[in-house]
Amino acid sequence: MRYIFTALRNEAADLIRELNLKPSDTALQCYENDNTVLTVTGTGPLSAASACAAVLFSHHVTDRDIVINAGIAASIRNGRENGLYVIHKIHDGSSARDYYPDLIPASEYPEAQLITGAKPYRASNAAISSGSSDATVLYDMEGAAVFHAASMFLPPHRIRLLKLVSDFGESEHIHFDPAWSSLIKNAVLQESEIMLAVPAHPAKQIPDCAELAQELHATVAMTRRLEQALCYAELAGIDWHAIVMRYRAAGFLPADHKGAGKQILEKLIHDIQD
Amino acid sequence: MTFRTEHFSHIYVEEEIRDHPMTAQILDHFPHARIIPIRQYHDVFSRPKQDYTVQKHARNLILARQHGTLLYEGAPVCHSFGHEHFYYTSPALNCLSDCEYCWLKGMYSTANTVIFINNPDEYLNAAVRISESFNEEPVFVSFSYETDLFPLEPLTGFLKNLSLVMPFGETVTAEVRTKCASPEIIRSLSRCDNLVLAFTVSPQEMIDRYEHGTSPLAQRLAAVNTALECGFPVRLCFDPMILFPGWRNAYAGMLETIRKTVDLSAVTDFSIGSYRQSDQYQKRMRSRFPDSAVVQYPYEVHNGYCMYPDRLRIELENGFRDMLAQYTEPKRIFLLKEEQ
Ligand code: SF4
Repeated sequence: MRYIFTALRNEAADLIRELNLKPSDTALQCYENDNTVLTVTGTGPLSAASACAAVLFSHHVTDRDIVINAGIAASIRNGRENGLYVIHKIHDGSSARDYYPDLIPASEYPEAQLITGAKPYRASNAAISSGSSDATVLYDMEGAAVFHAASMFLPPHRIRLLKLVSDFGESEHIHFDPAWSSLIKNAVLQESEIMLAVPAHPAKQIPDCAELAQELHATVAMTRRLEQALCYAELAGIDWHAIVMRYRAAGFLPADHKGAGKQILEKLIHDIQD
Repeated sequence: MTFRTEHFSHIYVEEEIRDHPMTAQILDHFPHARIIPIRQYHDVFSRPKQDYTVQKHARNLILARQHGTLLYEGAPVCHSFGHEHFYYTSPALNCLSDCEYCWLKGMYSTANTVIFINNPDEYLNAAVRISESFNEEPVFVSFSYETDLFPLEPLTGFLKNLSLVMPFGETVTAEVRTKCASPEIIRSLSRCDNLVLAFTVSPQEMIDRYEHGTSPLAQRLAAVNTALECGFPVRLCFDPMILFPGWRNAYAGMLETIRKTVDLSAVTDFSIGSYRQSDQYQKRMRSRFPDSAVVQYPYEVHNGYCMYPDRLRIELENGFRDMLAQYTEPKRIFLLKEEQ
């Protein structure tokens, strides 16, 4: 599943159209289809963090899912007008915490640092320290908040921030250029394709041993030991089914009672360990 | 756009050491890397929920400075080779190799590597001070506790510099342990009596199964011979010994190969130890690496450590010790249980 967060409806307009997202029936401004939930959070870190946390929590995200925060930002340094950037470092101006998205893809988009503040950026009164002078540094009001909230649910390579330079902090009023929405849409679609291609963490394969556990009169703790031993046997190419068949043929299984089951379990583990 | 598969595309550099000459030397190797300033390495290295299995295809590098204590007392489950004062230090965290059983995978949640921008003499001075506090008694320091320094040597030159300063710390013995066979690196080191080059040797079947990204056995043995030719004290480490189908023949065959390739009488000593791992780390590794047989083995837990059942551990360790003792003096063989 792909979760997209934008601060403004304008930023999301082309994505909503292209992906044919329908408004969902929630208190939040969400638009959905089968594989995407797009949320317009409103501006500012509080709105962004609370909307992000609420959506990810209510949708029971798994580590197969991705989060993208996309939208406009001001350039503090070296940003190109209308340029789209992938963010590799986020500094939260309020908490002074830094965040680092992981596994930034090789991309047609240049990379930048982002500073998130609670107030709109004004070039005239900025007192912002931002590392080396050749780095591109942008400013927004949501990035750190979305990253922080999403980090509670997802690994850092499943969270991405994409920012488009809309201004340089000269004025309070930004006239939203409709072309920005299309640029944001293209970047989000490309980026999410790469992110979704990254394999999810493999899950442990527990062999089906319910019947054997029953024959052993296994307690929960015994069943765990059995599962662990059989899991190893399968990985090491040991034919545990053949061992169990031998036990059945010899009359060891089913065990008469829990005590006998415990002894047979130990014998089985012993045979697998060797 | 594609998912990155090259290493060190991004290098995170603590602001404090941005202008350090060692930093510049390392960064020179990566002219196309993105350099990202950071305040402290934990912000990147210890991020929550990182995924080793994904990261290992595109590792990133972190350059940091180590402050405060540089040496720590060694753990009881590690060999101290008869030294009463056993310490370890970590000029780097994490390893470029990918041994499935490596304890670092239980300790750290990342495949990224930290290199500390500290000079070798800082570690040596710390060890000398410890020795002084024990009336100049000898101190043994493992430098490869949380990494293999050899694969990093082309970037850091740390081992070469360590070999240059070791003669100034006569009461200190340093050990650098490796599974990376590089005769060039060995030849670049300055010979000294208190720098032990320790080579982990494993049957080729085990290397193929579990020690990904390390050198094959034949190359490791060639590197052992290079180290002996250069006059270094050399240690052979059969540690960890691992069970896998056919292990009895594999270990016997490996010893036969070693005996034919290396003059065992010239080797300073040998260590033998079967797999052991903190129970906590083992639990983490089991959830992180569900496909690894060595990780999923049904170990027994003794005093908070996962290990093989005694009957197998004794057969593995003592059996190998007895075979090895046919070719070398028993007093030069160190078995962990006996050391403890
Ligand atoms: S070489 Fe050593 S430090 Fe590196 S992965 Fe293997 S066991 Fe771990």
